[in-house]
Amino acid sequence: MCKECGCENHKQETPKRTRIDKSLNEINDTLAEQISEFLKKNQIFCINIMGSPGSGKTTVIEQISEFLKSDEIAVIQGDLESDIDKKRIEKRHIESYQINTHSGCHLNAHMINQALPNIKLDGKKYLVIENVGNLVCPAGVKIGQHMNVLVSSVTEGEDKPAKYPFIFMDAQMVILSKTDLSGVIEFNEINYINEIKNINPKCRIIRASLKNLKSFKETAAYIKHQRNHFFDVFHDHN
Amino acid sequence: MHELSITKDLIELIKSECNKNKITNPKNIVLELGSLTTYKKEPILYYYNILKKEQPLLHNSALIINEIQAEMQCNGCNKKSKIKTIYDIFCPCCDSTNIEIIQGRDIRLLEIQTG
Repeated sequence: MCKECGCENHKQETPKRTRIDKSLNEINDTLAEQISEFLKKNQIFCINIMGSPGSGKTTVIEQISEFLKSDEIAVIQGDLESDIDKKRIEKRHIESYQINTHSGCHLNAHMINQALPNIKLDGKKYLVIENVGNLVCPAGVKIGQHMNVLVSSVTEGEDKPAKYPFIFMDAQMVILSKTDLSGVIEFNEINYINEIKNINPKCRIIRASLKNLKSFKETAAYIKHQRNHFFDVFHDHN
Repeated sequence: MHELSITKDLIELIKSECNKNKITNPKNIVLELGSLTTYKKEPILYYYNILKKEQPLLHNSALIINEIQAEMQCNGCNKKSKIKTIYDIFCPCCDSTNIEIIQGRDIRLLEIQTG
């Protein structure tokens, strides 16, 4: 009998609890894991470069390519619109592919999966993915990367680690860019570095500027080191 | 805007789980939200109530969000402890910063209640 009106016609669904317990990130994360494994099998180390618009992500890629062999690098660019960054990278004779997310605020594993068949990966040792310029949304989103790099410029202010902790928490390396301007804008590098150390003590911080090209040599050397470490560990398990 | 895409994913997951489990009239949808995700409760509820209007299956449903405090485990002394804020991620027992975050970075569809 119907509990609400007492009639015999209304069919009542018995109260029931169905356990689901599934992560909303599961679809993305499973695909990201497949991408990561595919790249690993092909000896390609995948770096996710994040940072605000204008922090210098593309410049960092341009500069580190001077110290890594350009034919060993492939780059995926993520921007809402335009292929400006793809063209910048191609000028350096580096394989490059542009993703336009239109309204999307970050890259996801599905976008990378669709981009991969369009990139020549033969002989590549590094896949550098430049994420959409944003300090919020790309944090914690897996795209198949083996390393997270955050580019953060002095002109954004020394309070950025305190205000946007999640993205700083996920980074294995923070490149503090445009340090030649530190003095002009009275940027306190000690405060900035201490803020990062509070959130992410294991993070490597490199001060970089186009006035000091050695800083990009150091960046490239650290990425190279991380790649060697990653694949040595990988071989140990096999 | 940040929560819109995750709420869309949530609705797709609910639809597929309802279909799989032959649920025709979901009532309470229980979601677990970790304190170290970049998502907030209120915007998810806001978008859910807008998006469910496009889904006849979800017209009578309500979203319940349980917020879960993040937890860490120390690699040094093995103790588990709660993470109050992102700014004190070190072991309260031995002060080590060599810790693993074991809970609080996920957003999960826990259960669908009917009737």
